[in-house]
Amino acid sequence: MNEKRLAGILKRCLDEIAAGEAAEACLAQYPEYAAELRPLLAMAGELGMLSQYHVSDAARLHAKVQLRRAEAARRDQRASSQGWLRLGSFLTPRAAAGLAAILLCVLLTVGTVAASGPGDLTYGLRIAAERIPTRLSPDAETRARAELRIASRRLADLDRTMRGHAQEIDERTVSALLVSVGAAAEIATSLSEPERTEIAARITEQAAQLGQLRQSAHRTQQAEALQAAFGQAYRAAERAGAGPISPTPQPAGPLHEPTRSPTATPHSTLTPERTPFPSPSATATASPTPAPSATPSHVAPGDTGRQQTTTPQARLTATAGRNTPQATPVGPGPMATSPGPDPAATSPGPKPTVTAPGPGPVATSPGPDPAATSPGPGPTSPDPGSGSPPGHSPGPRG
Amino acid sequence: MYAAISDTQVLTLIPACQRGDAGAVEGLYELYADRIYHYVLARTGDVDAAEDLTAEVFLRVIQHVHRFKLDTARPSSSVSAWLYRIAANLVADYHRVRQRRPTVSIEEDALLISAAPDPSQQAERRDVLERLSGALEKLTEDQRLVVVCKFSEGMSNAQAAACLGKTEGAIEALQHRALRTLCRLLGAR
Repeated sequence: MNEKRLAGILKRCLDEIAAGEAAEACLAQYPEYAAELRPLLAMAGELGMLSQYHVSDAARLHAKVQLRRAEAARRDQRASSQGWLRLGSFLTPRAAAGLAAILLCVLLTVGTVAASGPGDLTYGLRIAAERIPTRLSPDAETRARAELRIASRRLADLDRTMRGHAQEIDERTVSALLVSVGAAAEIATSLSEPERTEIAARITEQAAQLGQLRQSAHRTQQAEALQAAFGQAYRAAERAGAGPISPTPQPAGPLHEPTRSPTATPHSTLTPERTPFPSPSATATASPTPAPSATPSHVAPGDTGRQQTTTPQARLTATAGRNTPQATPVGPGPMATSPGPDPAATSPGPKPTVTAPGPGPVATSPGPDPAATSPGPGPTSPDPGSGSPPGHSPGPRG
Repeated sequence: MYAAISDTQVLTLIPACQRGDAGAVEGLYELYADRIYHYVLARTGDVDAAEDLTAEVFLRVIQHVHRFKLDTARPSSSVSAWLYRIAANLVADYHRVRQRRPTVSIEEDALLISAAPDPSQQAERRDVLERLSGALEKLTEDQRLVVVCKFSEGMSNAQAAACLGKTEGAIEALQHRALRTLCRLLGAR
C-alpha cells in the first residue's frame, strides 16, 4: 500500500518537474517521503540526459540511403519471384496440399510413362510423348535425326520384347517404328545429297536390324509382323534414296549393316530355317516374287501385301500349284537373285522368308528368276535348291 | 518535447511499407528513429552503435514488414512494440558479439576521445552513458521501456501507456520499480 502511494507521489513529482517545478518544491510537499523520493528524482534527472541524444543528421542520411538500397533490392527480388509469391499468398493450406498432391500424381505419372515398355498401358503415351520434340525443331535434318533416334528406341523395345520371349509383339512398337522411319525418309527427300544419303543409310541399318529381329521371332505372328515392318522399312530407305540394297539379315551375330552393293550376289539368302512361320496356304499369299512390273531396283523383302497385289506370277503360282509354272520367264526381274526354291512350290513348307529376294537389278544373279520360275521345280528352275537345299526347307512350325 | 505518433500515420505507413513503398519506410524511420535510438542507446551506452543499430532496425522492417500483422485496434502501440522487439533482438546480438571480442582498444578509445570537441566532457558523458546502460540492462524489458519512454522521450504516463499498450497504473508501478532498482544499482546521488 505504501509502495503504491509512493509510486503515485513519484509520478506527481515527476509531472510537476516536467512542467517546470523544482524538485525541492515537490519534496517539500511530501516531507515524510522526501528521503525516499530524493534519490528517485535524482535518478530520473540523470536518465533525462538520454533525451539530449538524437540521431545525427549524417546518421539519418546514411540510414535513409541504406533503406532505399534495401527497398530496391527487395523490390527486385520480389519482381523475380512475384509469380510464386502471389501463388503462395493466395494458397490456403488445403489448396497447397491439393496442389502438392496433384504435383505428386503428375510426377508419378510421368515416371510411370517414362518407365513403361511394350505391353504397358502407358506405353502409347510414352511413344506419343517422345515424338513431341521431333515436331518442335525448325531444322529438317535435326527432325530427321530425331525421328531416327526414336526409331532406334522402338527397335530397342522390340529387341527387349524378343529377348523376353514375349508371346506377342506390341503393335504400337512396330507402328511407331514405321512412323518414325517413314517420317525420317520423308524428311530426307528434302535434304541435300550427303545428308540424305546418311539418313537413308541409317534407315537401311534400322531395317536390317528389324530383319535380324525377325529371325529371332518365336511365333508366326511375330515373324509376320516383323516381316511386314521389315519390308516397309526398306521401302522407306529407298524413298530416302538408299538405292538398291541387299537387305539380307545375317542369321546370327551382331546386327549387320546391309550391303549397299548392287552387284552383291545374295546366294543362299533364303533362310527358311530361321523363319518358321507356317504357311499351308502361303503360296497364295506370301510369294516373295515381286512383279516384274514392280520397282525394278529393289523390292522390299517380305512385303507380302504388296506382292499379293502386284505379282500376277504369285497368283499364278498360287493357283497352279508346285508343278505348274505357268508364267513365262520374263528375264531377270527384280527378284532375279533369289536363288532359293519357290515357296509357292513347297506350299506345305514354311513361307519363304521375305529376305529371299536379293537386289533386283543384278543381272549376274546366279539364281533363276523366281518371278519367272516361281514353282521351283519348273522348267525354268533347274536348280531350285541351289540357294536353299531342300533338306533345309523347314516344315510348318509353330 | 514528445511528438505523439498518431494511429492514422501508422495506418497509412505500414500498408504502404508492405506494398514496397520506399518513401513509406523512410516515413516510418522519421517517426520512430529517435525513439528506437534512445532505447538502443540506453541499452548499449554507445552513440555510434546506437545509430547503426537503429538503422538496422528499419532494414529489418523492410525484410519482415510483409509478414507484420497490424493491430488495427491499437495501431501505434502495436508498431512500437514490434520495433522495440526488433531493437531488443539486435541489442542482444550486439552484447553477445561484444562479449566475445571488445571492439575498441584503450589506445583507440583515447584517440576517439581526443578527437571530440571537448574530450573531457565527452569522456564524462560516455562514462555516464555506460553506467546507465549497464544498470538498465539489469531491469526487466517492461521497466526499460518505461524508462526510455518517460525519461528519454518525455512521455506522460498516459502517452507511455498508449505507446506500450499498458495501463497508466502499470506504467506508474513500473516507473517506480525501475527507478528504485537503478538507485540501488548505481547508488544514491
